[in-house]
Amino acid sequence: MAGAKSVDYIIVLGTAAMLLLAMGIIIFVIVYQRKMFAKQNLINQIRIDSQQKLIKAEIDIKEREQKRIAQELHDDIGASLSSMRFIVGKLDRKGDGVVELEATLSRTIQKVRQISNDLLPHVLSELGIKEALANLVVNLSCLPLEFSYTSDDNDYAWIDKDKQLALFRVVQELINNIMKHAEAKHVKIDLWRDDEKLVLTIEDDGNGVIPERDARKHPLTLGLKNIESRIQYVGGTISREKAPLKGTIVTIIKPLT
Amino acid sequence: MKSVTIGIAEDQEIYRNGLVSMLNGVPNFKVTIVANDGKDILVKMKGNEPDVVLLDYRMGGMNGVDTAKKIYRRHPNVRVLILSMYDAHEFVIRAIENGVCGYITKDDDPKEIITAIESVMSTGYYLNDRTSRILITRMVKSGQVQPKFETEEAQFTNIEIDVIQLICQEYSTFEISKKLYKSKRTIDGHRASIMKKINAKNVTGIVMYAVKNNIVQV
Repeated sequence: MAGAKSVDYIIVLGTAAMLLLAMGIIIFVIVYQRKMFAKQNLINQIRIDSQQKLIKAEIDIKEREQKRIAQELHDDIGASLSSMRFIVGKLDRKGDGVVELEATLSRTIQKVRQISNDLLPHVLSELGIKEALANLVVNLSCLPLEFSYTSDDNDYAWIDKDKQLALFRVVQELINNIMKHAEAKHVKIDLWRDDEKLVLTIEDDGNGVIPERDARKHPLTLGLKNIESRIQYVGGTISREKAPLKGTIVTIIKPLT
Repeated sequence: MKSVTIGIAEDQEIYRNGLVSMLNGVPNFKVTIVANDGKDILVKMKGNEPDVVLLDYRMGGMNGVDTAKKIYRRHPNVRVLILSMYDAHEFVIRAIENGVCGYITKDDDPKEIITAIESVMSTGYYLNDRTSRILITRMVKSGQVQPKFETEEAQFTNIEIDVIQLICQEYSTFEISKKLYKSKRTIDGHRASIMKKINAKNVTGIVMYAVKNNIVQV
């Protein structure tokens, strides 16, 4: 009897030991997995961070270079050409070619200003996104597309200028896409503030083709990639939906805190 | 006749030199302050207040409009003109809203600068056709002015619509005639017919009508 009891005892003890061991292994595995998971998360986070840094660096470099050329054109070449008008002004107007010289000079100044403005929109760098969009709409009025633009009374000029520029470039790119693909007649741009968020919507009355959703027809173009990276850079979100009646509405939201 | 004293703030040396020499060549003008930027002119104006100040819009440090605001606070009698490369409407509006007496672009005929200085000395302000159009358009659009036309809604021919649009884009009659391949006389005829149809007395009337009736996008 005593022998059977001791066998029972050994079995119980053995089972307990096995269970303990199993539990130990399970706990170890769980802890290990958690650790690995956290590590993986960290790696992912680092990857995303470095990707964003890379995108930011890319945009920074491109915009900085454009800004430099724009300012040099505007300040240096522009000023030199403008100063030549004083010299031409001293010439005898009845002299051969003076009138043509004056006209050519005037046109050249305007062209330099135009190129410099394309590289870095003057209104944006001096006044801000609200005025720059108003100016963009006026400048595009020669297109067969009709534009309307509204903005509220809030001030947005305090937002980091590089971020304002990124938002402006997104709007330009979206308008480009609309002209290329949407077959729209009218584009409506609205800028307003909703609590602690800046909201920018671009609505068209075209065919409602949303590029990402028709990836086979329109592979993700460079333009769209640029939009995505700029929105990331701004720290905002972008969404595209079919507009209630016809066309597409793009909503860009940027937190202001 | 008392001479007109002028202060200039302009950071581009080459342009500044041309400007100074042109203005000093005008019989009763005298450039008394030449400054490199906004801060510089404010310092130089202490105890040496000119009648008129010409400011570039874009300068290192403070821009022209911010400088103008500071000048008005310290020297309320000084008249400020902005002289800039920028020609976008938004700049003109920002400048005028901040009390600047006039806005000239650097690609305009330099003689206009002289006209502008004479004008601010005699009337206190200088508005050329361009600035007037910009300001009128803004006032009509924002509803500050409700232009009334004592005619039924006018019917225009296609060519008249083209002419109206070009007038609103600041083209002269001569430029319009070149653009539309017509003689200057023909365009003058169209202008007269447009003015008659809407009972307008000048170009301003045409612009107001066009803005109100959406003949142009602004």
